[in-house]
Amino acid sequence: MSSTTVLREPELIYGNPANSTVLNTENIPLSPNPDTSIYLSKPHYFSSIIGNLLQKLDRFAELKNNWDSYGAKAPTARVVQEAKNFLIENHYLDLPFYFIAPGVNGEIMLEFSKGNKAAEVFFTDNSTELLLYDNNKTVLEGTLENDFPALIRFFDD
Amino acid sequence: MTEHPLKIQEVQDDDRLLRRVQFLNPNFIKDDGTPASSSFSLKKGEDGLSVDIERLTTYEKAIQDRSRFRLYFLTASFTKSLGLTNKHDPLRNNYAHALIKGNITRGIARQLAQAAKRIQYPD
Repeated sequence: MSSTTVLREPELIYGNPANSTVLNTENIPLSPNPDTSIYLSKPHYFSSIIGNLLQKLDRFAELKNNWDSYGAKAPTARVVQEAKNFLIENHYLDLPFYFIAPGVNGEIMLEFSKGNKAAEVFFTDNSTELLLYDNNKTVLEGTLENDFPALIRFFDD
Repeated sequence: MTEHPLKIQEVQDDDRLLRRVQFLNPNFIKDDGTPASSSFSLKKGEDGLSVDIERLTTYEKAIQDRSRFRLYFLTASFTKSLGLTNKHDPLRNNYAHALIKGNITRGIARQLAQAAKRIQYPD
């Protein structure tokens, strides 16, 4: 009879088993008590597009000034982290994540694209910008803070 | 072609204006082949978007580093159609240098990027 119980079994199969919680249950019989607070949660994984975008962000952190040969400013670590945080916190949303690139003034631009509709979100040191495009015509200029619902609705057809 | 180094030329409507775009580590060209709009954005304090007039330069010179960049072009007539102006602005080490001047907003930069066409050089 096994003397250990491993919680988070999916991580044992798919991830680093060192991250799993191991209990010594030699003297503790397990029972399917419905009142138990122990539960197995299904781990979340990023989609391949989100994974690719996060990897690109890591590369942007290595850029130096004049990365574009026209004098562009390199993005700061803070700006890169802001963009990462947004991706991590919102990766599960049904948004058409598409592309990411640094801007020439040190910002990071995240682009969404679906059919004739596109959106660009700019992360700067102290603010965000949001632009919505329909057939490449600007239909909204705002901020992520004020217009995030508009971004969601824009692609919700 | 020999030109007086200070002679300003008029940018013709059918001139092609070249811009470098980074394509490796990381890649600024999207899956559909268009460059990122940041490739056609103005830096703060910049009074025009730097380009090279194709007929006054060579691809080798314009690309600067073929291991990092690829060339895209815009027609002068297209930039004018967006309300921008094209001005030959020769530099000491680059006679072909020109500026696309005007109110290059985020939206205009996106339109420039969407309209830019790839020069098949070096591949």
